[in-house]
Amino acid sequence: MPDKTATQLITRHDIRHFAVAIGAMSPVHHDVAAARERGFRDLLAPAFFFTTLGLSLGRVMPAVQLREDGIPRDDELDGRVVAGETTVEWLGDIIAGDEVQVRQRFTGSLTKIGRNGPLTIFEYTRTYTVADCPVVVERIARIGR
Amino acid sequence: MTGNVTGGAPDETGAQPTIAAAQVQPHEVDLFMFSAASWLTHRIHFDRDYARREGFRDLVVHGPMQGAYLADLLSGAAERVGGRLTRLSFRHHQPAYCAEQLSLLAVLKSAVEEEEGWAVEAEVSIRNAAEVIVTSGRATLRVPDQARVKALLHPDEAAP
Repeated sequence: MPDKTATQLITRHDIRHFAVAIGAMSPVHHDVAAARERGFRDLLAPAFFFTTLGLSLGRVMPAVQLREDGIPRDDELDGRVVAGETTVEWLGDIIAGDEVQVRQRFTGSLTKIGRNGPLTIFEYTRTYTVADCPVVVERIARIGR
Repeated sequence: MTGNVTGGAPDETGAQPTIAAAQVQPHEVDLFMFSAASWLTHRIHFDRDYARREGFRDLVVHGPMQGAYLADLLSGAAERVGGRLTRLSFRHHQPAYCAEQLSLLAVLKSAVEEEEGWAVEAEVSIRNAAEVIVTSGRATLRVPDQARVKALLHPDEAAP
């Protein structure tokens, strides 16, 4: 399975939207002056902000390109899909104005019999970089039943 | 706390020392905002009828949203003492549902002195209102010195 990549310029608007969605109300995510006072160049993204890029991989697909369950038609997993184990390592920060690149690498799959029947687990590593420096490495599993 | 491996001792009630705790209760609008902010179009998070057709009893709280709650809790605790969150791993044991009160908890597992500061290992969990663990995992926080490891466990006291 080929790697998938996407690049996104992170705006203050993006950071504020995500911060409000998770109730992260620290001023460093909302107030540029407060962020600068804390030594950041601009608004600091909440720690898990990277997921906004990783979940969509930069694709903004219209409804016609989605399955009935809302997942893209070209997704590799069939059936009911849920999130599996996730491991995240933070190596740096994401700041408003950064151009973040994510590269998703498929690392393997396995099929097994779970409590409710067969399930397939797909595993990936996503590396997020800013100016070629890794800021986050995420290892995720997605489970299809 | 002295030596290379410290902390993790249960208190007099048998509980592990708490690093951080919080409660969240994500409603429909919160789930919508998370789906929108991440362009996550999976219908189990915003279409109740569809979620039930898939066998869930209500709208499902996104796995990454739970990760974001934990990461925000932990990074806030670390920053309070001049440290930072460096690692988080978690897995889901069962769905967390819309409007359920979810209790987030991070407890100290160990604190180890390293070349540059201290590595604090925490066990993290999210429990639903029935006290059932829906998500659990581990986290690592980097903290500059031993005094700040202690401050991490006493959030009401000013960090050194």
